[in-house]
Amino acid sequence: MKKVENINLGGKKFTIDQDAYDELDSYLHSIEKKFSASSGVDDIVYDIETRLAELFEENQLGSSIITLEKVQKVKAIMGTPSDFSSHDEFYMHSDSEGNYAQKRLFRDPDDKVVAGVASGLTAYFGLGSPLLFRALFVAMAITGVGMLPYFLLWLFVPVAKTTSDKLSMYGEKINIETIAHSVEESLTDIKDTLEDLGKNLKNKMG
Amino acid sequence: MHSTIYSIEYSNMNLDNTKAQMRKGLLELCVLSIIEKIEMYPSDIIQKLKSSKMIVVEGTLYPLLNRLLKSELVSYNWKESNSGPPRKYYVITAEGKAALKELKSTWKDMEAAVNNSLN
Repeated sequence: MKKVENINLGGKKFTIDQDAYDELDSYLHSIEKKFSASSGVDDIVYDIETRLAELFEENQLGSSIITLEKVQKVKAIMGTPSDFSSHDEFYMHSDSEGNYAQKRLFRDPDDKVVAGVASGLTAYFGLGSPLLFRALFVAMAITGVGMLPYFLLWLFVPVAKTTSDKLSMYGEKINIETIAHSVEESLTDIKDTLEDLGKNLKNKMG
Repeated sequence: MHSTIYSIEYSNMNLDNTKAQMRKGLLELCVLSIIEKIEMYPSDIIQKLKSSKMIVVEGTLYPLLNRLLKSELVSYNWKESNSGPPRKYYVITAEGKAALKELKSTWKDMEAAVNNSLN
């Protein structure tokens, strides 16, 4: 027994198995995503949906319910977004201005005292030694400013994990999209480091 | 041994890319030429292209049509259909006709040049 959905595809009504629906839905989303940079994305998706509806009609073969197998068959005829966009790279680039973030602010895991914030900032501003920033943060902690600036940077600046991260560490600006992701990671990171510090203190006390 | 296998695979990959590039360059010419005489529904354009093996997957056509539309080489009209919602019929514009003429003459020059170097 299977649950079915009723859908309107290209202005035509179809009954479709739940698993086939999920497959078709993610396929259409992948197309939409591929062309999302273009102002013609609605036209392209509309035309493709119309064509998919026709292909399903041609492939009815007795049963009127669209199965997963039929979705896969039709997908093979239409092709994946990467199949057909590789034919049209010029088009892909025509609307979207290059959003390549070549340079970013990172924390440097290879040269750190606490979290690599100072060395990351040093790389970002193209300075030779992280001593200046370290002294600055220590000065902040001692004076009235406190540790908050350091903790905020720890929270919001991602750690340079891969080689390409490290290459782009000598950089321009933080990529907004990655902040949410890095905050999550940083919170765990902060928790772990604080726990370690706590253990060390306990050991020393005890 | 390893390097031989690698180089064969590598050249096959390049070859596929080259073939795709060749088709891609000519696809625009074919589409414009197909709709030059009569306005056409995309599925009918696909039939023509498929029978001449100009496209492998159908999806290729739609981004291309949209690009032609945006460069104003083609436009479309809505037409009622007996089976379902109204359909888009693509038609060539005056600009499209001029572009087609240019592409055709480029193709003829290339065809001659390529045949010449193959023989």
